[in-house]
Amino acid sequence: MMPDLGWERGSDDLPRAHLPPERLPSGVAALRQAGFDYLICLSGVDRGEARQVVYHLRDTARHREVALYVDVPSRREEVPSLTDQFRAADWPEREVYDLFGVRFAGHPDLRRILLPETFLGHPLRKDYREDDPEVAPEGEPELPAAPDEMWINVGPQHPSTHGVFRMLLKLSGETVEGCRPCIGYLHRGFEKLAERRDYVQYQPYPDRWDYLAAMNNEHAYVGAVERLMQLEVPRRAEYLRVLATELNRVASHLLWLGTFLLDLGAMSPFLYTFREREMIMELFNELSGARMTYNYLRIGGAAHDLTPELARQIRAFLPYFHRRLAEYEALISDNEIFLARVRGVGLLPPDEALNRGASGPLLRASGVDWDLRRDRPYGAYPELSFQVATASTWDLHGRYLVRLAEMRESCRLVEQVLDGLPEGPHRAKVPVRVRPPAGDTYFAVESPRGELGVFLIGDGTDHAWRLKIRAPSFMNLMSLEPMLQGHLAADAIAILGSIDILLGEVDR
Amino acid sequence: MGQPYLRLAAAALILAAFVLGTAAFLVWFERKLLGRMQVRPGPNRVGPGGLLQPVADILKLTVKEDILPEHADRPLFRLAPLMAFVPAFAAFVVLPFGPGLVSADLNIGLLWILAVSTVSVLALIAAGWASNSKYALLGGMRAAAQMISYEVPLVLSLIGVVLAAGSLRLGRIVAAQAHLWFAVPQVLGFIVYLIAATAESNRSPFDLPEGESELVAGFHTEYSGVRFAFFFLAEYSYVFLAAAIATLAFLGGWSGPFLPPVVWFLVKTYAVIFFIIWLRATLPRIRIDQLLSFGWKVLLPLSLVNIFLVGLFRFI
Repeated sequence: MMPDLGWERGSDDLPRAHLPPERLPSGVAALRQAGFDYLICLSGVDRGEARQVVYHLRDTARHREVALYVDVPSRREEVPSLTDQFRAADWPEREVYDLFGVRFAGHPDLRRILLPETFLGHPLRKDYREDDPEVAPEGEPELPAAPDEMWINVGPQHPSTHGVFRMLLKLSGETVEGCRPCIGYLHRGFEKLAERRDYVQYQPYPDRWDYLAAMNNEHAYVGAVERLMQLEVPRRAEYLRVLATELNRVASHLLWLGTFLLDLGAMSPFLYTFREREMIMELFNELSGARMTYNYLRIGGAAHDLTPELARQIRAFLPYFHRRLAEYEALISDNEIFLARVRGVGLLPPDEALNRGASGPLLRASGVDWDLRRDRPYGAYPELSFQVATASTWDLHGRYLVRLAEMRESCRLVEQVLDGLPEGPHRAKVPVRVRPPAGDTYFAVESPRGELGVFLIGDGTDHAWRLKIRAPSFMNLMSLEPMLQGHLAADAIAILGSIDILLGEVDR
Repeated sequence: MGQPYLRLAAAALILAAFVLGTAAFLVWFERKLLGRMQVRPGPNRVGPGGLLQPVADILKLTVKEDILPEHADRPLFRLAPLMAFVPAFAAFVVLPFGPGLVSADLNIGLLWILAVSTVSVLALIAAGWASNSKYALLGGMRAAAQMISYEVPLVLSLIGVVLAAGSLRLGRIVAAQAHLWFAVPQVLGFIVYLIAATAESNRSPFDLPEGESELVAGFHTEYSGVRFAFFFLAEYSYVFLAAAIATLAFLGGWSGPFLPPVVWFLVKTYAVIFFIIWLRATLPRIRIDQLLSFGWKVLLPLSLVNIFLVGLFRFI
């Protein structure tokens, strides 16, 4: 039963309701009662005269989604916080506060998140002026510690934080007692940029969100624009997209596998997985002309068709890769030390994972059988067969097994695409100026790191009014803190590695 | 009258050259071997096959700026690298490379090596403490816990050898293996020794004191230049030492057909070193709590069982 919140149908068929701020907590509580257990995306929007916060919620058991629109009163820009109902609201609310200046009443720790604490102004507001002074000098607050505890700074320059992630660990001996993550070192304002470029000009930017899975990012962006335009994409193009994104998933998981083992202190797998990843890079180079930032998926299809020669090369790569995968398993899977390091470490129970907004392999390794490709199907996935890998152990070992299985499934998908590639054009006829009608839509794909969503608002012009990126790494990182509790420092690094974060995407 | 001193001075010089040369060669050997195991060429630019790469590295390190961290314990910070290197060097003194090829043939040779190399744990703690850095401190604490824990099974595994040979003199231990290497009857002791020695020299999978995943570089995080070079050389000297003792105590030392004794000694030693490097290319790092419980709960009882078995067989 859906609670009656005054639902309407939007252009993309998603039930949506407008709520005044004071009715938000009770409305969300009623939705939770009705089975909505997942806060997908929390976005700030500047409507010009007033601010708005948009909540996308999901019922994972019944595959239902709704959107709630809350207008922020302009006298006092404050709405109630949802953190007591969804821990997943924690960082997104901080982000909205940081970038829009909207306060959330009841938030436990409402600080800036992407920008430094001393930043002046809120840059995603339409009235923000770029030539305003930006940053006052920065100071670091002292953190309290008991005599037998110490805070140790890890990152942003540290060999194992996979980029410019920084966390402060409170250690008692070598046991982690607390954790304070700091992000934003790689914030490049991609959401703001989308408002300053037209839809076609923005096409290469998604490559730079998550540069290890650029194809998947492109898919999220062009998918959102196409849905807003109600544009039909040729089937051949959809198949080519599956080919590109699944190969990219393999490449991304390979890099994860190598770095994760490196975090555990095994150095060789890192070099082995780079060898295979390199081959995929070369295939992409053939396909798109670039090794990392492809700009291959375009609005309405794909940039280039698949040549028979390249199809042959990809086909030849698959059995080779399966042999290599078996080698990795022989080296790693039964290793006593490996098992001792990953079993029972970094537990994330399914309820907690959902409540904290985890997605992707992290969520599936916690025993939640959820994959957007199957459960919110898009593109050519309904026509292809694949298994969704899950693990019931909730630990690092499960995350390892899930990703290994996903690489195999991705290869199967690629094989199906090569076998059943439909004839036809690889790109729809798209007007030179892409000008979707006014409206908004949320479109999400299953990226290697989880649910990568784009909440896109168009105003009828050739550039977006607002583009919100629902970055899986950003959301998954909120699960770090509970997983660390009580583990040793060495485990903390492994647990961080097991989430598979990518800072380009966390900070955007 | 001057002659014994002259002989001693000459031996010391030769030994110094050998230790430095060996450590440098081992750096190259390890990098080359790891490279081959990891489908990459390894160093190949400086000298034939990259052989002069370690020389270039050490030269570079000696001309680097000497950095002392702020608020470091200066005397201790300066002393620590020497404390790491000098014992390693001192241990080489009693090492026989062949019959009669030894600088000082002590009748307590094995004991001397074990006793002297214990000092290096102090160097690691001192380095960790003196750096005034949290990472270094954690690394130093790990080093202390690890090296003290693994010294016990290490020594106990060698007790079996001493029992069987009836002497602490390394030459006698080799002679006692004329018919059968100790590795065969004392296979248990040999395995315990290999594991404990790998841990004792802080080699992967027991390289926790410098576990770079979490501790950046552990106890030597704050060291650079020539002081870092000393830690580096000490580590490789210990690897050679560990392999040399394995050869002398378990693999029959320099004995072997056809080839000269020195060659046999080096071949066996490098075979053990190869094994230790192979471990590094294969295994992930063990965790500190697992390391300690493995040392005390598995290796220690095993080494005691080994002593018991050796005693039993001698009695029969």
